[in-house]
Amino acid sequence: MIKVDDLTQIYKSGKGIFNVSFEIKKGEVFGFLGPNGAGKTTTIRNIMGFSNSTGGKVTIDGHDARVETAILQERIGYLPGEIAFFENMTGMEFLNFMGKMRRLKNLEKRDELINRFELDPKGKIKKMSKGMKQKVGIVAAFMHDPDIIILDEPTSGLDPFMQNVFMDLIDEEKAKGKTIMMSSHIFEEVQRSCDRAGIIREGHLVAIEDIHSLKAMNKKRFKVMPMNDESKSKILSSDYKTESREDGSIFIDQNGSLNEFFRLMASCEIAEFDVVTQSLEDIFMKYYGEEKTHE
Amino acid sequence: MNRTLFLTNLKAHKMLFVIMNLVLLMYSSIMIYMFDPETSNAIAEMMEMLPKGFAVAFGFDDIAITLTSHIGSYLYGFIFIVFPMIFTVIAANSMVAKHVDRGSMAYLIATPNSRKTIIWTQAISLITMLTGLFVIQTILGILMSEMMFSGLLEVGPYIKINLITLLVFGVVSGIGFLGSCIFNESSRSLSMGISFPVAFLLLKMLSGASPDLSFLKYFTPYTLIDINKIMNTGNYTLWTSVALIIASFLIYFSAVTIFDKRSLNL
Repeated sequence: MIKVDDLTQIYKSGKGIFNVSFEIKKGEVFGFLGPNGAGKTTTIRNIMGFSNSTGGKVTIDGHDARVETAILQERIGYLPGEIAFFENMTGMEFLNFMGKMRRLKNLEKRDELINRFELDPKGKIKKMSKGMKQKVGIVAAFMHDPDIIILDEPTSGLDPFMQNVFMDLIDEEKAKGKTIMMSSHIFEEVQRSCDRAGIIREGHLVAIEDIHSLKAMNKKRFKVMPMNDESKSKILSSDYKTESREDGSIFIDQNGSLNEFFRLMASCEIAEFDVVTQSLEDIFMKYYGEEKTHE
Repeated sequence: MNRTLFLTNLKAHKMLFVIMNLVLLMYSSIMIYMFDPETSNAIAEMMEMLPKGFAVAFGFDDIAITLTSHIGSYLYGFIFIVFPMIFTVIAANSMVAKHVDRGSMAYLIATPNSRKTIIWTQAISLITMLTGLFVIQTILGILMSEMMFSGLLEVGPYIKINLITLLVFGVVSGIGFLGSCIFNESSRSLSMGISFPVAFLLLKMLSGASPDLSFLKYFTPYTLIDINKIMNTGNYTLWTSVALIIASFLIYFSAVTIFDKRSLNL
């Protein structure tokens, strides 16, 4: 449905995206992962038809995204990565404005979304918190019930509860057969709802993986604080890859059977136990090698 | 042209529009009030005492005898250039460049309206407000003149002066709008929007200041607001209007085309 074909866009700074190609099928939820500044937004700008590419192009259902933008926008819902609305409008005025710009007649979905996200649209947007602004953006992106939904870092600014509400919304839209692309720098977000994910790094698409193989990559790392030396040496002598820290804590990379891992933990005296959330950087570091990770 | 966007633009510039009207009303009421058929000769004498260049530079060059030429020379030589200019600079920038700079343009072009439609709507909004400003001021000018000096204002020539001034601003606003469509940053768009109109004004002032510099008048459209010619030369208003309309259209047309073709980093 969305076909990014050998897309290159080079900015004056020399940064940009280089020969990016991928395809998103109808009804698929595609995650677009990469650290900040990797080229996610640049790719999305081209999908939305905002930018003129240096080379290559994006087609949506065979329509050139840059040329036939207005026709395609009938079917697209878009959430920009940076929240920038119209000064001095209230949330509701903005949503009404966007609705009219889209010649939207049925406002049911809009009102349902306002309720669901507990958005108070009466206040001036200028005075809203980042999370509240993000909600306004989400409602604007979904209210016309588009077939294609392009989201640039959709959960930024949302609290964990609202992130869940959002993820449920994505699952529902997916069930309705919508084609969704969402960029993120948070692995878990993509892991939860996407079918496949593209990973972009310094402007190059380094991998497109289905989500199961990505899950396999995301090995768990735990931080434990043993209470005595006996426990400490027990952990260090286990088969797991470990790393001792000066404060006495140990980092353990867990893979394989969780039962076995917890049996080991149960046999030790442990003061503290923590799951270490791995950043995308860490995952890159592990699976795509050092040379791709330096800044 | 998109009606929703058009109305939103007007609403967003409501305050600026009202303030500009009030400022212009204040100046024009004072200037009309100051007209005195008896002393207009005395003013003429006083002007003679000023250094010639000084008076000309500020547009007080035509010795005002009638109410119409009084208004024409005291208001349309400076005040009705400077304030519409400020209005134009601010409004032209906020129509396009500010949206691009801030990122809100992304929302506009992510709606099923072509870029051309969006930008023509912005252009028409700007032109409408500018026209509204001059229409309101013309009507107020006529009303005030009638109240203070019934029957003295030559309404036809007065309207012509306003028409030519408005059409000159068609070109000046077009340049500001072009800057607004070309640049990504508000700051750059503003500097283009400011520098041209200010340069035009300086050229006009310099061209009047000394005969050696009078050739500079060919480089500024404000020269076309020539009260004498508008009032006394037969087809001047017609042909000048036609030329200004064509020039404005070409400038606006190129602005829209450039915006339609350019790459936006939103």
